[in-house]
Amino acid sequence: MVAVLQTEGLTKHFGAFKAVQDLNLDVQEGDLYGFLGPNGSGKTTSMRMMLRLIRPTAGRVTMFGEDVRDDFIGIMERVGALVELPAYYPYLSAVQNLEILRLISGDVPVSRIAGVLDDVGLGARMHDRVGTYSQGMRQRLGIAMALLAKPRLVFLDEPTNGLDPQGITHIRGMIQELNRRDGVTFVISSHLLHEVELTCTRIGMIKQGKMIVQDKLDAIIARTVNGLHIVCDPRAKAVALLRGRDGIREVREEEGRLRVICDASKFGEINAHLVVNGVTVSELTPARQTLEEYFLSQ
Amino acid sequence: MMVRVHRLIRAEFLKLSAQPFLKVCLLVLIVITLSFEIGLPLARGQKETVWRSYNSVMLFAYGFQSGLKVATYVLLIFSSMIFAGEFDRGTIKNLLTRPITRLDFFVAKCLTVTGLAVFLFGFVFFVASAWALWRGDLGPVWDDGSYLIQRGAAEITQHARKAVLMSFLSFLAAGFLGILVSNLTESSGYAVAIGLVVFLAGDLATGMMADRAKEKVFLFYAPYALEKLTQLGEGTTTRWNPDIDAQHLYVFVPTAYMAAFIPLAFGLFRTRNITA
Repeated sequence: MVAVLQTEGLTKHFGAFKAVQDLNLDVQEGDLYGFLGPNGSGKTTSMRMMLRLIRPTAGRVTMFGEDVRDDFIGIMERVGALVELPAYYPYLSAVQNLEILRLISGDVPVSRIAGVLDDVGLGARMHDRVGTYSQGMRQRLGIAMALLAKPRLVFLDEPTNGLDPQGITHIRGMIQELNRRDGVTFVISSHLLHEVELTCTRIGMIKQGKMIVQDKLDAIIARTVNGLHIVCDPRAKAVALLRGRDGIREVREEEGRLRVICDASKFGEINAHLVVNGVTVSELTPARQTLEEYFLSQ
Repeated sequence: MMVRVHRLIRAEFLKLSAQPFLKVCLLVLIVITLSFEIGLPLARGQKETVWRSYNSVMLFAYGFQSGLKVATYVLLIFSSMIFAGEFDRGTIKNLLTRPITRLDFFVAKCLTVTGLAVFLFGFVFFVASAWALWRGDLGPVWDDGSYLIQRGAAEITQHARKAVLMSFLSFLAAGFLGILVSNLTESSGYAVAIGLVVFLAGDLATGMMADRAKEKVFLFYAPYALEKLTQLGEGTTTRWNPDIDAQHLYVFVPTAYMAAFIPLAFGLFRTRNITA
C-alpha cells in the first residue's frame, strides 16, 4: 500500500487555544478514511491545514509522497475537496458554477460537468440558478465540485449534511463505487459515527485536537467487543459462579440474559466453567459497544 | 503561471458577466451620461443657432465627466467585493483548493479589476462620444459674443484626447484602492462600505487641499482633467497646469498609489487563514 496522505506533528494554535495538537494522520491508497470527532474537535481545521487553507503552527503534510509546500499545484491536480459547507455563486447555474472550477482545474473536458452532475443526481436541475436549490441539492453540488476533476484523493467534510435518507444512501453508494471501481481514496470527516461505520474502511478519531485512535474499521470493531451476552439456566447460579471470578469485571442481568464484561480471551473459559457446573448455556454471543460508546470511553 | 492566470481571468469574467448588478450599473451609467449631455446645456442656458450647434467635445465632457464619476463608484464597489465576496460566500476555499497558487489568484483578480476598469471606462467613453458626435458638431469652439473661433477643431480634439488619457490611471487607481480594501475584511458589505467611505473622505480632503498638495493625490487627476476639458469645450479661457504636464504627474502619482496598494493587498491576502 502507498501512503496517499500523511501528516506529521500537525499542530494549530489560535492564540492560547490549541485547536489541533501533534496530529499524525496516515491514509493509504484506496482507503475510505473516516475522520471522526465531535463538533469542535479540530477535524475541519485539520483538513484546512492539509489543503493549505490555514497555515499550521507546526508539522508537515505530505500527499502522494510529496510535501504539499514543495509541489502544491502538482498535488492539487489530483485532489478534490468539499470543506465544511458547500460554497457557490447563487446567481449562476450548477453548470456555470462548475464551469468556473473547470476553467481553473486544468485539463477537464466540458463534458465532465454534465457527467458529474448526473452522478450526484442533479442532472435534471443543472441549468437552474443554484440560489433556488434546496440544502440537499447544494450539498450534492458541493460533492460534484469536489469530484469534478476526477481526483485521486477526495476530502469530504460532513458530506451527508442536509441530505435526506435516500440522498445519504445515494452519496454513500457513489463514494463506495468510486473507491471500488476507480480506486479513489476518500477522507471523510464526520461526527456521525454510524454513517462512517457504514461507509469507511479505516478510521481516525480525534478528540480535543488530538488523535486518539487510528486503525482499520475491522480492528476498531474488534476492540469494541467487551464481553458476552449469555442466555442460560439457571441464571442465578450462573451469576454466582461468575461474580468475582478472575478476569470478569462485571456480571449483570438484563433483558432475560446475562451481560458479562470481560476480555475476549475469557469467553471459552466462561462457557466451560458454566457447563461443567451444571448451567445450561443455550446462547453465547459477543457483546460489543457501539462505536459511539467506544469513542466516548476513549 | 500565465496559463493559470489566463484561466482564472476567464472564470472571473464569467462571474462578472453574469452579475445582475453589473447590468444595472451599466444601465445607470447610460442614463447618467446621457442625462448630463442632454440636461447640462439646457440648464446652463446654452443655445444652438442656425449656424452653430453644440460643440461635440463640450457635450462629451459633460457626459464623460459625470459618467466617469459614477463609473468610479461602480469600479470601487466591484473591486471592494472582488476578494471579500469570495470570503463572504465561502467560494474562496473552492478556488484555493484547485491547482493554483495564491499569487496566481491575486494577479488574476488584479488583472480582472484592470479589465473591468478598461471596460467601464470604454463603455462611458463610447456612450458619451456616441451621443456627442450624433447630437453635436465636432468643429471649432466659438466665442458667441464676438463670433470668433476660440479653439480650432483639431486643438479641442487634442485637448479631449489628453483629458481622457489623463483621467484613466486615476480611475484605475480607485479600482486598486478597492482591491486593498477588499483584503481588509471578509465581509463584502463592510468592504464596500469602507471603500466608499475612504474614497469619499479622500475626495473631500483633496478638495480642501492647496493646489500643490492636491497634485500628490491620485483622486485629483480625473476630475481635474475632465473639468479642464469642460472649460475648454465651453470656451472659457483656461490652460492646463504646466507642472502636471511637465512632470507627467497624472501618470506617476496614480501609478505610485497603485504600486503601494498592490503589495500591501497581496501581503494581507497571502498571510490570511481561509476559515470561510
